[in-house]
Amino acid sequence: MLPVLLFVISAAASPEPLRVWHAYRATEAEIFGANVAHEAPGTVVSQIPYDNLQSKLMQALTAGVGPDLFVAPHERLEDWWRYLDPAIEDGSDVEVAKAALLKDGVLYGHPYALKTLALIRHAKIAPDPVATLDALEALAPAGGFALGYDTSSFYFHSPFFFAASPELFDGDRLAITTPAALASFQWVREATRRGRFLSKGLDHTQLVSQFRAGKIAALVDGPWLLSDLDDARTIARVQALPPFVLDGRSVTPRPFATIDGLFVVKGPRAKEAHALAIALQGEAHCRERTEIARQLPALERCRALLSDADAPLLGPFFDQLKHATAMPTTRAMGTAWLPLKDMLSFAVATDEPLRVAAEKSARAFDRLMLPDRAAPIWLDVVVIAALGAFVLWRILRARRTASERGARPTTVLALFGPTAAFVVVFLLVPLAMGSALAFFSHDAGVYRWVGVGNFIGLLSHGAFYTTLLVTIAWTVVNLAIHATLGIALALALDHPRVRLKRWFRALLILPWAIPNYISALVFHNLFNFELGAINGTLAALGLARVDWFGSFLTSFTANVTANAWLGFPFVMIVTLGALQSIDKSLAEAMRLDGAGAWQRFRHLTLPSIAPVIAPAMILSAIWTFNMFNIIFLVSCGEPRGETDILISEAYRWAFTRGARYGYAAAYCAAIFAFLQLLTWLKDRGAKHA
Amino acid sequence: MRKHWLTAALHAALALATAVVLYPVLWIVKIALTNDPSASLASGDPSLSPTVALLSGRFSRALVVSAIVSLAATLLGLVFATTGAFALSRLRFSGRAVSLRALLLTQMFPSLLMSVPLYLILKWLGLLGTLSGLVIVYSTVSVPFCVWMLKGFFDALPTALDEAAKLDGASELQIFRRVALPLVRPGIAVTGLYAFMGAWNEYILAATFLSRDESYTAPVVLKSLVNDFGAAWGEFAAGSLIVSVPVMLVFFVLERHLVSGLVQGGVKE
Repeated sequence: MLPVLLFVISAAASPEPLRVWHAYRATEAEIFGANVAHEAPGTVVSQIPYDNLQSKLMQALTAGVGPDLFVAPHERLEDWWRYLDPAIEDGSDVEVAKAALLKDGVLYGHPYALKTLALIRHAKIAPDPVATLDALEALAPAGGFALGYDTSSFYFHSPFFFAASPELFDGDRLAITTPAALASFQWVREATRRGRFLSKGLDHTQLVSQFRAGKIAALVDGPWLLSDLDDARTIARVQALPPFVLDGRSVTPRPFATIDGLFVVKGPRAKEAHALAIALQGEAHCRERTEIARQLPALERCRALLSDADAPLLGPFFDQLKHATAMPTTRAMGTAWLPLKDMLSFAVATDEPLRVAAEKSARAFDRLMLPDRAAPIWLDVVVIAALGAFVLWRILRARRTASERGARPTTVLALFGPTAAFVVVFLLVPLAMGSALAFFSHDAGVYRWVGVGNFIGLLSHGAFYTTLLVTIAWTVVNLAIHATLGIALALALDHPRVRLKRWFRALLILPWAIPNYISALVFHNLFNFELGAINGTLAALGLARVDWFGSFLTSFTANVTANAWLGFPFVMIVTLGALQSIDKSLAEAMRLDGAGAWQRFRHLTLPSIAPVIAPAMILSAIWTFNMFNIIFLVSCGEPRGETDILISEAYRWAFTRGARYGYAAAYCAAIFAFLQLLTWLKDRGAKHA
Repeated sequence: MRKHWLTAALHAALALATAVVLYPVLWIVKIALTNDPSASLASGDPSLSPTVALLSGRFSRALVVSAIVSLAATLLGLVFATTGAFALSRLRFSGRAVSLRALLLTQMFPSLLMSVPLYLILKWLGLLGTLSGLVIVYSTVSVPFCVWMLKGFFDALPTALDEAAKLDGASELQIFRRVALPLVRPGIAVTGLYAFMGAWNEYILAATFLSRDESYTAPVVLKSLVNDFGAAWGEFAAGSLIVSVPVMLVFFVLERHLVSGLVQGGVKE
């Protein structure tokens, strides 16, 4: 059966052509695809979802199954360069772009497109270039803002940071505690509190829609914005970011420049891939890349080829590059995003002293940069021996207490063999391998034995226990809400006097039918500070807007709300099923005996549904404990990673902090151990009851 | 008089709950129809263009791929689970208790931990990036789940049936095929529905294991409409609806049966 099925499905596969990966979207993706098809017909171009590009590249490159050529922002070069074929010939004439792709004097990639930030003014509100950012304040539209940028992202804050302080790193440390570095955070804190000067809590999508609606005079944004505005030529005007006043002196914003490089992977196809990269880079494609895709080619020569309509829109970005900071490619940069984001949200959302927060972020950064350390061998031996002995003891005990015989071995083999084989090969073996990873440190495809070092690293840090506590609180609160809502609604639906039962039931289980990554994104937007429906309702009721993702409790509440919404139908349906199996005449008899509604519920209903609900709740508990999508997409761990649970932390270690699979596996092992402990306690509880 | 109050209160509570449940859904509908992601349900001009744009692109193909992959994963899950579930329910053999434990154990390991080794295993098998590979990955989720649910259904069948068949000289294999299998058919349908839904709605594994546009499943295409630099919200919302509506319809039709599997699967150890 399996071979046949596999054959049918893979029959469509043909000999491998050149493979190219990118994470562009919309017109950028279309133009890129068309250009590749034009330069190298037959090439397979794959659009990778942006959020997954880094993790996919890491997995594919380390496993040796990556693409032949890929386009990606250059900042993760540190993770890839070992796998890349250096670019000998380089076609770019933008110095900052070439400098960014150098590592140890070798050019690892062909600069393709540039991303940087400039000031995009609304043509009606701010038709003329402004001499300073502060001059925008007078132009703020009624009920809107003078200036907008995504204040939750350090990328968008970078122009202001580098205006105040030239360096983000001081050797191996994050240089954000100096007075100069703190100044930019102080500036953004004051700017969001300065009447209607700088927007707060709006993400990129919302900024764009506000800008389009004429509610924001100017955005700090990149060329990609122009492709999102179909009427960019009429409503947008672009200029390099003008100076602003900081601590009484005028400073010039210096945004990050990121370079989308065309990176060639080592291998037999490298030569073809280089040729394709150089062709894609060339002047021949300037026009459609700028005109349709609104991309900024890493080629100054393209500027001369801009159409008259586009020159004022894209040209200023080339000016901005003269005051840009090439984003570092070090692992430190990749690791710094999260602490920097935390620092930024601290500055915007709270009034507490910035120095304390900066020191906290710097410490968090240090911890993230800490290398995996090996444990002493004797400790490995002791721990592994103890673990082995425990497992052996459990198995022996299980054999003694439950030695069942009876069925003929051939029958067992025929019926249970296939299932057992599948489970062993595709579940137990990967599980064993995955668990073994916890004893290794991973760096760029090389695994190094560190024994129980990962566990020591994990257990010796306070943050782990905080996350564990949050995870427990998360699970308990969710279960309580699921049970209360689910049982209450089931009881209501089961009540004989309720009409339209079928309709209510069908509508109430809708959340279950919607994929949870979609529900999570929806809730993330519902809780948005400025535009979300929840704050909209609060405002309509005359109440203050809540910065939901700004503090732990509100952020946690947002997560719980989202999870309650999608989780209660399961308990409700299970309870309904159990209620329907209760003998109605019993309840009637109790009623005639004078038992009230509560007594009937307490002594008849609850005992009858408990055995059914209990296993459902256990299942629900396991799901909630590992409910990755909600945490990752609703609160995104904010504020400052405080709402992260164990599984989302594990994900970050594996994929956003430089492929530290070993450390991530140690987290997973901790999750497993904890769930095991819970079931063991439950079993003991059940035995005693 | 008290009765009327109670009835009214019950209806009010249900209506409120339904409204809370429906708001996000209606909001998605609104974004899909207007391409306007603002919070109000009434703003924006109706237009079908996001839906048309979405369906004329790769999404239509992705829907077909999703359907094939989900069906294959369901089938594979059921094929490997049914016999095993029967064995665990009806046969007594050494290793049964350990197997049951091992099965539950696999549910407690985060799938994140599985993805790195599975990646390597699929690479060895030459199935990386293929749909068959993804089907196997999904089966690692669906097989244990199906075994667990189906064992519940088999447990619920009265043992008297087996005894009678045994007296007639039937072997265990015959009992499985002739007696038990026909009787648990509704259970298989419900179990299959859950397995299908799990695969149909899955995103992270699909995004990890697939790397060719033409083999993308619907969730992967949907997610690639959104990135840090902008999003096609109208298309994303339209796609979300298109993905959810079939499941909603099946729920609506099978809603009575949905619960039976979970209840039976749960009651007995």
